[in-house]
Amino acid sequence: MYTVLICDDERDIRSALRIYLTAEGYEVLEAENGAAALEMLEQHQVHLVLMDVMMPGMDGMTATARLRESSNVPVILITAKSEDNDKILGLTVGADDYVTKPFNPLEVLARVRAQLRRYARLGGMSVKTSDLACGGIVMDDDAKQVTLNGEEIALTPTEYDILRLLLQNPGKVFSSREIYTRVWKDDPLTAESTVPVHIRHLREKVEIDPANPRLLKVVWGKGYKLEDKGK
Amino acid sequence: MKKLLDSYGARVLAFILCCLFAMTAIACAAGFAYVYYEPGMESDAPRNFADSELANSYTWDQVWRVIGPVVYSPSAPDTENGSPDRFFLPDPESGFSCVIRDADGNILEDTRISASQPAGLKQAENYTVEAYINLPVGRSSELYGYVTLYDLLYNGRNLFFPIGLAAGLLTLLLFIFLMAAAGRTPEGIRLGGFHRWPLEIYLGILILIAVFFAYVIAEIGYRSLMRELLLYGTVLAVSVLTIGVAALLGCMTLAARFRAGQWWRGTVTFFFLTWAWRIVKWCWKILCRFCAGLWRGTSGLVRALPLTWKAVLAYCAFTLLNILLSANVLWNGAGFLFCLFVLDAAAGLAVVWVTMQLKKLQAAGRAMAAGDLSYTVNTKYMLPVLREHAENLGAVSLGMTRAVNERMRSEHFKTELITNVSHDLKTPLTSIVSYVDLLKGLEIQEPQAREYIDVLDRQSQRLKKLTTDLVDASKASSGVLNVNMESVDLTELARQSAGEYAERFALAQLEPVLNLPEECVVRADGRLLWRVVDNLLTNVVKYALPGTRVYLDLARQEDKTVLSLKNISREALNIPAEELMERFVRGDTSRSTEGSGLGLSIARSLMELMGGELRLTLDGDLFKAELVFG
Repeated sequence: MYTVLICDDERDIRSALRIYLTAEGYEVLEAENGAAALEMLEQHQVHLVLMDVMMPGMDGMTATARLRESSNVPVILITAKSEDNDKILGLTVGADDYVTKPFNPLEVLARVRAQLRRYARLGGMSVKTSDLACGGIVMDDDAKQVTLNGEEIALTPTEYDILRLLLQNPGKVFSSREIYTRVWKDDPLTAESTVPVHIRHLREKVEIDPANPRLLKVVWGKGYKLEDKGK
Repeated sequence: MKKLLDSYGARVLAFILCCLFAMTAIACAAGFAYVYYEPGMESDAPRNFADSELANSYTWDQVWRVIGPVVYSPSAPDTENGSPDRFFLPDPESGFSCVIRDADGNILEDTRISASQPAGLKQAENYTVEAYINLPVGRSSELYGYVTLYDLLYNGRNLFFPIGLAAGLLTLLLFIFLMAAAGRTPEGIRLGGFHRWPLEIYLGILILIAVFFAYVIAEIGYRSLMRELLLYGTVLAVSVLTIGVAALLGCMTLAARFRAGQWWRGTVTFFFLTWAWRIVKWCWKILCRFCAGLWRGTSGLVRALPLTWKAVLAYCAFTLLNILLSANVLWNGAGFLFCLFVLDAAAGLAVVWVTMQLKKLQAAGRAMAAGDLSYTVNTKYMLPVLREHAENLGAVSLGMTRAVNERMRSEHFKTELITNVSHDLKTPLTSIVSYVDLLKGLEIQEPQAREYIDVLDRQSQRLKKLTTDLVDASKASSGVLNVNMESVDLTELARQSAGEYAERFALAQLEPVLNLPEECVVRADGRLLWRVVDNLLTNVVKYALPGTRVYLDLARQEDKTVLSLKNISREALNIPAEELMERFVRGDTSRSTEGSGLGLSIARSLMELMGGELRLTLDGDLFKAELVFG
């Protein structure tokens, strides 16, 4: 049983999130601003925080920065601003993920789940040295098995090969032609949009919101890369 | 000491004392000089007057008086006849007697008496005269003055130096005191009395007095002084005293005026110079005013003339001069040819100069037409007519700059407003989306209720898209967006886009056809470019006729790179292509399908931000969008 702290100044949003989270079997605590959330964190055992950014009193950024001084509980920021700067600032301050308003409740649930899984399980899980891992994705090349935050995901052989190439070179940008040459081991004369389609499928399996990927990123007009996290 | 310096009485006393001491010093100096020059005078041995320098001087005097008639009268009888009457023999009663001999030593005259004391031999012309002084001298004797003076000198011979020195020092001290005190009053430094007189006049009077008395002194003469020692001595003393007083007064007034500062103000010269300066200044002012008026009148007249007239006048003047000079060349020879050359060269230079200014103006106009509003023309050395034109150009550009800035400011303000409003909209929208979603999860029996929930769901999703698009649109159009230009491979981007849309094309029964070169690199912002392509492809999926092909072509046309997207529209498009790119304009006038109507507008703004262009063409049902990169 996990406890999730919802911090938002809008009562209706708190209630909606509470309904979704309770239905998933989480215990829910509510706070209406950053200061209340910090207080709540001292009194209760909390496994995850959903933090709104714009709140009266103490805002979400400040509260996140404060709680990071003493705790490594996962924090998901809920921001109304879609500007890149706000996302970057949030992640720098110590948030683990973010969703933008108006959010899809199911997306929020999926992100909560993913964060909790990583937080709870990854710590104790043994990662073999031969394993390729990046941002929650772990690839066991011996068993030809891929897990995302501890859950196994099914990939086609082509998708597997593409992912392995990217995992071997985190942060490096590969163009479609390059990927085609390295994976199909063939001349990319008629490659057309084969690679992009495979990548898109792969993204749908790995990402919660494939249109806004956090891991498997599209570098438009250049190629694809795996976000080099945790380095 | 200060009190003493300020005191008027002390000054008067000091003045009198100073004069007296000065007199004493002068007298002592004269006495000392005599004692110094007379041999044997300094010893204490008793001396006879007859041996003295004074007596020598007196006897010489007398000798000349005696032999004078013989020497100076050309009609005098021959010496050999030896008439004793020829000599002007002294009165036996007087203090002088003599023995006169001729060149051979024969005694010609002898007036000696018993009391005669020898006073030396005098050789004059051809005669030898033995001089004798008859002692003692009576009061009535003309020698009395000499003897008295000699006694005085002899008796005081040891006193002259110390007394003179003391008197001199005292004089000096008092002089210094007077100089220091001059001009002072208890109320500070004030010029009063004579010090207020014009300097030159005052000094002039003093100098006149001094010169007069100097003349008097010169007129007295040695002999008359000795004869009437008391009378002339007094006159002499008074004269010297007066000269001293005048000198002292002059020094004092100078000291006082220097101390008061600006001594020149009290002079007549200064007074006249001041007046002269004022007159000169006044004349200069009048002259300046006259010249300025003349210049203003002339230049005003020239300026008032229309430009054409000015040019015609200038040309006429030039031609007239040319004709005159040419005529002179014909009649008076080649000397004027040089002048003609100079004139023509000057005219040529003037034409070049004006042309250069016109060129400057032309450049400025061209820059402004091209949109460079910060272009300025240096009007420093321009003709007034052209300068006016340049300044007008500057005013135009200034006004335009101002308008553009105003426009930018209002655009920024609008963007900010839209951003803030849509942020505020997002929170309630989140609630709506969430609760609609919750409603969908409920078991609802009423089929109508479920239909309504579907409408709510659809419309809230539209609203969601609209708020995001609205922010993007205003940001893109006002240029607030960060544009990160880099090398982008359009081939790769087209492939990636096609890949992203593969499923959606399939769903809309569309077949993508890609005509791409191996590689085509342009400078753009990849993320923004994807937004453009994304918006275009969304439209394609939404509005294209199912079962048709979608063409993605990439080609270089002349110096531009064009990525074109062609598809067949499902419905007849009844509005011009340009209008499609306006905000909130959509191909379907009924607005029943989803979409904010901002997609193409955003795409166009983003392309413009990246320095490119979005072209739309409608040819019947053929819809063509072209992304053009410079």
